[in-house]
Amino acid sequence: MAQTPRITGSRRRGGSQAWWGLLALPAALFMVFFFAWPLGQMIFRSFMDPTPGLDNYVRFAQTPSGVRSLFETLGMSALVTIICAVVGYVYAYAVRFASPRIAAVLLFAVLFPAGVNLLVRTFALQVVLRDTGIINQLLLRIHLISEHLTLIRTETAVALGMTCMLLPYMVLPVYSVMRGINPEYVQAAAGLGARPIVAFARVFLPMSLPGLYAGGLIVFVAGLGFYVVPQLLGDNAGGRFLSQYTADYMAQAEWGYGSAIGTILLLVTLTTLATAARVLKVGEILRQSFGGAR
Amino acid sequence: MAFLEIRDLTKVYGDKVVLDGLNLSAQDGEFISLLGPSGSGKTTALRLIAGFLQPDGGSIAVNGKDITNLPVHRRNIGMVFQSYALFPHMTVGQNIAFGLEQRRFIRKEITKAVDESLDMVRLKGFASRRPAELSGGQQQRVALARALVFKPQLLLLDESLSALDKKLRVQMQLELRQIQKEVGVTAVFVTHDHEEALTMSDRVAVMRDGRIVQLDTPSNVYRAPVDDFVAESLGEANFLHGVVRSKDGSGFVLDLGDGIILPVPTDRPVQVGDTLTVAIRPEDIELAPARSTGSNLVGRVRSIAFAGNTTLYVVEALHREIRVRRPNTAGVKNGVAVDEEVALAWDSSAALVLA
Repeated sequence: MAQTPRITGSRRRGGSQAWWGLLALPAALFMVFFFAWPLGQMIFRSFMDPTPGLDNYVRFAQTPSGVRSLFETLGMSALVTIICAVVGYVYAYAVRFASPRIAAVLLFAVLFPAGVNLLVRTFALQVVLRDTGIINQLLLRIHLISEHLTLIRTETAVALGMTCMLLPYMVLPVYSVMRGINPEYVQAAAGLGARPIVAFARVFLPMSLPGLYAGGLIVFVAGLGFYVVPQLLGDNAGGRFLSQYTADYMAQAEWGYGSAIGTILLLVTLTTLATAARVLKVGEILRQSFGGAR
Repeated sequence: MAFLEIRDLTKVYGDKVVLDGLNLSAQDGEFISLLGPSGSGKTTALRLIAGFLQPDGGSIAVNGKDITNLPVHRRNIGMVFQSYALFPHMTVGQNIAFGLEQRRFIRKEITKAVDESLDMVRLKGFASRRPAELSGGQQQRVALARALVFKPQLLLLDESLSALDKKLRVQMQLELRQIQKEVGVTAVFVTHDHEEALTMSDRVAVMRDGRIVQLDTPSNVYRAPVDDFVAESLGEANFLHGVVRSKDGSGFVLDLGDGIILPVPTDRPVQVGDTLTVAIRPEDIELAPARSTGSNLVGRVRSIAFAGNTTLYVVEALHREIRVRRPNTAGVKNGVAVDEEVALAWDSSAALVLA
């Protein structure tokens, strides 16, 4: 009885939002059991297994191949982010200013592969790049080369593979920001005497930066966790990704050390996100770009 | 030759002729409004002058120089957009400086010119603000300053005041016109608001279906419209149709039917027996109780609507509704009630003969 008035009271304020919140409960429970709990386990283990303390982290810092894999991961992600930014920006620009029909085709072309399994696509790239793959066969047949090029098992192959997988995540946010830019801004710049390249560089590009930042963040962070692509296309004798390095030790049942590497990867990811939020001020950039003159 | 000379300007989209051989010339320093409903081609005309669109025919010349095929950035034309299009990632000062930077002015001159133009639009000290921090009226002024600071040959205004609320709009109309006069720049202003066009312009071009129907001074388009479209575009009008009964040197007599005749003074050549339409503005009609006057045009009041400075009466007469608008002056009562019989009267010069 005591509860009844309180419920009607909250209805009168127009807010039974507390009850709607319950709908998120299944998803929240799922995340707790299958994400937060194992993650907590991993972090816990990295400090406790085999002995309590920072041993696992000290070991990582003192292992050259471990530190190298950290830089390998960061460097490759950064490289892929830059490639995706350049290629994706040009692509998004083309989609934005193409006729509606061509834009639809271009958008489909970039989105469709994203729906295909990553492993399948990586194997496909392997087929294309391998010594007897179509690239080598074509070049040999037209006598541009006399013996096959080493395309697979190289850093280049990893960069290419990751770019293929991550490009849609750059194109989409950039395209969506570009679509929100009123063409009158560029016209205004031209009317004020700016040549097309100047109007682009000083007005369109700065106004589309939030899309590049958002896309860059997604691509970089996603790139940090890549495993399949470097595993299948990479030069596994040389640089290894942190994710591969982790798996190596997990496979040897070195749970504590493997967990420590996983935790370091998690830390790098979180640091990236926090830095992006502060330095790029993504929120403020968005507000300035779209809260302005209407 | 006029300062702005537009000849046979034509624009076609698919099979739709948006602009159908537009001709327009403006004197140096003149303020011309393009007035018309949406789809009349007024905005297309402005965008062609600015260079955002390429015409399918005709030519545009400014100050004796043909600019028809000149790219936008080389036209030296200032434009104020309806959306203002102030660059949101730049400060007010940077926005205004943009046009000067493109013209390779030195830093010192740019700073000076930016300060002066901010002064001109009464926004001193706003240089470091962002457009998003300004009110609509302030943004409008920055857009104007940005369009004028590089001393363009021509100022184009695309529905530039329509985003403002009414009170601010009226204030900005006067302010904008004053600045335009001070600067002495020739201006073309696109609007669908007839009061705005009448208030601001030296001449008004009334447009329909991609053509200019009438181009004349505000008082002439209002008082001597060429047809019913122009008469209605510039304000309320009652249209009366009749047959010319007789004529003499000073005008003619129009038979409106039901034994009602209307003397119309005009120098327009008409023939006895012609069917003609005259327009009468609601504010030109006077009301009086039916029995008190000798007027033979009598009607019944259908409705009365108080509208602040005026009252609108709808009177049924001549088998139609006639709108009458009387000023509401303090201390004067319009002693007329709904369903009352009233006599309608107007000065004979109030009847505007349409072609």
